[in-house]
Amino acid sequence: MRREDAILRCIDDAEIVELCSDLARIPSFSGEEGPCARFLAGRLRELGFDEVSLQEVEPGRPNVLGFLRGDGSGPSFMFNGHLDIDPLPADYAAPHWRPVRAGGKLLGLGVGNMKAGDAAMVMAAAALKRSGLKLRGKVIVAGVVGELQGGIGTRHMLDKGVVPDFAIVPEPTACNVRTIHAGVLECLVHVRGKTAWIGNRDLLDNVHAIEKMAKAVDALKAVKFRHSPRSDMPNLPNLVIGGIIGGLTKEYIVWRPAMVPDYCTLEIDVRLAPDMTLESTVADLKSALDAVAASDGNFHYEIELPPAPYRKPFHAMGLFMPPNNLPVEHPLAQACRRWHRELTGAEPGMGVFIPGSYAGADSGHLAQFGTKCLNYGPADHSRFYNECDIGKMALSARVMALAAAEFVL
Amino acid sequence: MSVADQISLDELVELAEGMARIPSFSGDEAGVAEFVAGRMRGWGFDEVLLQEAEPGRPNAIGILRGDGSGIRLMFNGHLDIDPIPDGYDRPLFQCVREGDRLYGTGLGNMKAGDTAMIMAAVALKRSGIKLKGDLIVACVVGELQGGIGTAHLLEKGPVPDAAIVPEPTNLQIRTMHAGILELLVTVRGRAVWIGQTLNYKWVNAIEKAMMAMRALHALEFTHTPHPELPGLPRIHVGSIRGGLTREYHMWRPAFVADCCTLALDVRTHPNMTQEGVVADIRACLDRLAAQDADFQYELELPPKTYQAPWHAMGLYMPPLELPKDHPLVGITSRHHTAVTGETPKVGLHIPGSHAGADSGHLWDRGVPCFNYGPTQHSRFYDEVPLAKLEHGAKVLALTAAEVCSRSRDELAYDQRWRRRR
Repeated sequence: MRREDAILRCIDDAEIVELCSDLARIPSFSGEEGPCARFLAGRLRELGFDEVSLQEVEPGRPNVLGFLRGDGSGPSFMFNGHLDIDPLPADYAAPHWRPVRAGGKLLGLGVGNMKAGDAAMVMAAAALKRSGLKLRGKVIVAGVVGELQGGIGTRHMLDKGVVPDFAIVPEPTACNVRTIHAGVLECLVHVRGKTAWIGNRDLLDNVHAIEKMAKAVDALKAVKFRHSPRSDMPNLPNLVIGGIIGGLTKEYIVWRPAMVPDYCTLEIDVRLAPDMTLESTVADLKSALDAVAASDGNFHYEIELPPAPYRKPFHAMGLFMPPNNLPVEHPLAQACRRWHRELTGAEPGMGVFIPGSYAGADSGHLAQFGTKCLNYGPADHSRFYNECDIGKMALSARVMALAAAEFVL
Repeated sequence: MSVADQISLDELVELAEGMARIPSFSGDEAGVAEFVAGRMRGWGFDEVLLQEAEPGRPNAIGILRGDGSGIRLMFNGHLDIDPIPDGYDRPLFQCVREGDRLYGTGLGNMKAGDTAMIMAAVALKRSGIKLKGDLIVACVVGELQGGIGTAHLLEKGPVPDAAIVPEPTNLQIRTMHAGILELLVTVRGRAVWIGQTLNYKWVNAIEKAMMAMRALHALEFTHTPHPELPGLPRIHVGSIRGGLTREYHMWRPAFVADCCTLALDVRTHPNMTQEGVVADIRACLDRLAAQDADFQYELELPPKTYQAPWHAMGLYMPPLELPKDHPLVGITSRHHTAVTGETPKVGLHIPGSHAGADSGHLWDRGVPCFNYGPTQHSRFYDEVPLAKLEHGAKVLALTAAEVCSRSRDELAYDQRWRRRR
């Protein structure tokens, strides 16, 4: 039997869907991944992983690491997927925590980003184990916390020395081989005013912090980032205003509107083109805001960068997420491409994948630590990230298993 | 011995210090309410009650009983204090005497006024004067939240025939002040992930809220200007929250914000109505909506409850416009002149008349009243001149002694007691 057949016969599509459904039944918003992580650790043990550990990133928030031992003569290969899921927009109406199959898809909260990918990667690794083939390099399954918070789980893992040679991060790419993605900077812009009671507005010197913030919003919407435009990534760079809070003092007291507000904070998200750096991005933000300050002596701002992790009420990213830019010629990319073509008869997209390349991902952190990595996952971007095509879940598990086999067998 | 001679500065300072030591931000007034109730019991008030305006938030009401034949006068002062702005560098919840002033958190608005009115009643009690009408000392909760304590008091009683509210007026007799409407404007957007902004329709609620704020700050109200209150009406956005959903999630700024709420504070004058103000605000926002199909808003008016995070005013506070020739004004004015040697200013007091106060609720309920208190508006509302504290207490004591000795019949034959605008 060809070794790829030995692997493929160990992959059961129903098992992938079942694992994904099990994961999607467990709420796991960022910060609340504990139950989902403990469930996954149990499942990895049942699947016969040689070693399963819970690596606590923060109290109650463990990464799950499952290892298949190699003999040490080959490179290490990681499947890395995050367990935390997106918040629900105001208009989400489907049932929560009850995944259902419908029209060839699995629907459920968090399935799209990225529990479908998590299920596929786990079953890919399990297939390598079940195949009985001898592993030279070790295989690691990492179910990580806090990717939506800047990748704190993966960064913690890397800092602790778990740094693989190669990795696939099955973020939503609809089974395209995404080797390039944006960097992500989330930061806070603080504007300071000076309070006075509304009845004293004409009599005491005062500066309305929210009025001043409106100027900052205008300036940030018009900021010009230095970069080389890429026709294949037209939405980079991009800046979104994601949150605002303003009132009295740095505690943002909002219950006393009779006072002129003296502190306001804006939360922004910036997506960096591959040739932008953290430093150039921050400098461009500053020059836009400095221009406001130059025309208004009462405009005082400060950029908090990156926001201290999860400082209330923000809970935003505590880390800058670097971009990833693996050449499409790299053997890892070509391995994914070849197996995708072999199994489907079609060429996958290579390199940039829209809109996925506008996302940051833990692949950026891995790349910064020298891991050659890419994204290849079954789900597609949708408004609610609550669905995945079941055929693609099955396909991605097979491609991941076969691509990894080229490095670890 | 005059009732005024029963006022001791040391006792005033001691009570003011006792009150200032107890934090009492709106919602947390229970400690100070129990403290003043205990004091009033100790001083032998005929009746002291803790009247819960909301669970755990009692008004402390002390009554000196008259024989029932006279005018019932109320002193009404709030126990809740303003939040402390950045830059405040005096010790919190301690009193410091510097020269001729006493400093302490919340003294300015209005624990010094509370102190003066309580000690005025104590002086009246000690004087042994036999009262015809009750003197009611109402230390109320939640004035900064629209006067929920006084609104509750007016519903449950006791309702007086006349009242003095010793808000900061620098011992001027303030017969008119603004009305206050606080409301929330919630702007709705449409959330889309940052990588999808070229593919999906999105609307950033924060950007739209900034547009709304600018329009509201430029709003020209339809009104007949009040000749004596030229600085009104005025409006501003006092606070803002925006993010994902009405919970204002801020932990995922990669999504375009789909909800943003502005808390507004509007000051009206006595020629304006709540309905007129709301109509103007709606018209202003409707004009924006007419120009921009993506602008969608809701008004919450007034925010009925103080659900987190707003805790804003749950009530409209009506304006006050007591005729300046009201008999109560004359009585207090005469005693003020006797105690201080100066004729008090009567009528408008700037910036104080830009404030709302529980006097608006009392006046709206038909209780003639005005403001007369020892402090004045300052940035931190934390100070009182000792002389004013003493003078204020004396004038209030003398006023109460005279008013509560007057027969209720006077109300019937002197229509000026009941005169409304």
